[in-house]
Amino acid sequence: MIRFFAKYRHLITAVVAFVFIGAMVYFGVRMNRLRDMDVQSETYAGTAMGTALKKTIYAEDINQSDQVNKQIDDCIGSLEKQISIRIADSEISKCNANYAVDGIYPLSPNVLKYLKREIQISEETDGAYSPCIRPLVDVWKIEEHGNVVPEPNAIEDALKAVNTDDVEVVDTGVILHGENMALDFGASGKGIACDEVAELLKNTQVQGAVISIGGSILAYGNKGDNKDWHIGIQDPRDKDGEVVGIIDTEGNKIISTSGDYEKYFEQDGKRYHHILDPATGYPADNGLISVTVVSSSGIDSDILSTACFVMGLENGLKYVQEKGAEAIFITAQKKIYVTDGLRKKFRLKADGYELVK
Amino acid sequence: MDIMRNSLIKKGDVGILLLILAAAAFLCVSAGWKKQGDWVYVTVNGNETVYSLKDDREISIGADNGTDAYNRIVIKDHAVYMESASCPDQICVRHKPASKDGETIICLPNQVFIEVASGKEKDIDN
Repeated sequence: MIRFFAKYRHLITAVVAFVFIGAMVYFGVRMNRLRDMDVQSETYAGTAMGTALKKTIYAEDINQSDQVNKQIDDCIGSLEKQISIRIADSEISKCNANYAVDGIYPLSPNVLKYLKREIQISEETDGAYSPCIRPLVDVWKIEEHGNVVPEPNAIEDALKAVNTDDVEVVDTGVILHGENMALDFGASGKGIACDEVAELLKNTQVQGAVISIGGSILAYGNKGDNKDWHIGIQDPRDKDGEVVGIIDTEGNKIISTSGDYEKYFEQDGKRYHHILDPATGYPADNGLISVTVVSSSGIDSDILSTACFVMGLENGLKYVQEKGAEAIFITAQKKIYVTDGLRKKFRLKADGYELVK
Repeated sequence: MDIMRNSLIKKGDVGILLLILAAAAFLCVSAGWKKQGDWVYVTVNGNETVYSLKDDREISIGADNGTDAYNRIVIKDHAVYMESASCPDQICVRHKPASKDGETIICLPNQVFIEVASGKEKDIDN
């Protein structure tokens, strides 16, 4: 017997090793399968609010994902009926077309809630942000891909109708104190949509979701593993889809980016982008090329990314931190400034940039 | 047998080596099973067509609505990109080639959506 063991020592070792490895592989694969069965992702591409809408939903099965996907579309659709200037009979469009100077124009509580926040941030930033910038946007033909700098007097005329002090919110509606004014949720609407979708998702069974609406991204829940989401930030000087870096973030955050690369044209060697300074009437020109804001409020993250882009590096960085949000500022010299809370959460991925400590 | 007995490598050792190799191969194959197939989903006006990401090809989407709108999609080297398009913003053409699971390229003005479903796992969630 001992001789038998001695003779087949290696063979027996081999059999034991095989059984051991086999068991490991079997359970390893099984665990993988189980995890995959628990949560699976489904991606939906489409359009909303005049921009690309991409939804990746992590749910138990595809039926659940499909159902929630439809709920999200409905949710954004009904928000657009309130605040979109692209819909002729939205609340905002009707207000802009029909309001009487100094009269109360009735708006729904939801719209008024958001308008109040816009006015507050407008005041706090000394007008770097305006909820009634529409007449200026029209002169620059931003929506129509305009590629000519407007005449100075046209800009001056438009600016007369862009004055946040002339917007007054009362309990039942809004009072506009000037002529030819127009409210515009263009720089806050995508963030607001993220807020409303996040509320909706809380009432569903989905485990997690990443919803991109133009420059605003909602990271909701998790993938079933409690790990951070990895949100890529567009490289402002590279192709669409190339990232300058990745933010690792917990769920229930909204990440909004404003940059000079989104909509722009060049005239006489100068870049004219779509982020207009309500004070000058011209595109903000302070050396920033991209601002990303991370906040648990979508409207804040969307508005702050625009406001900070206009305010400039120093004032913007200060203000965004006062509001309890985190941010990434990128300058034309390709220097990247990150707020303290994001320092360990931001990974630089592109060449040619410098992360300023 | 004398040779085996005196050499450094014993019969059983060879067996163990082979078995470990077999186990490793099995692991690789089973990991590969997880996500089979690499596909490109192209949606035009709500109609979806599926192409293999492995076969190089050009896809021309022409105008059937009386306008001059067009999109030319190229699948090459396991990636898909918009080669040219009639849209005014050219955002889709400027988009980098897509090859990873869940990546999309969208031509907003022409309502053309390209989505990749591949085994190449993404490191970015948005």
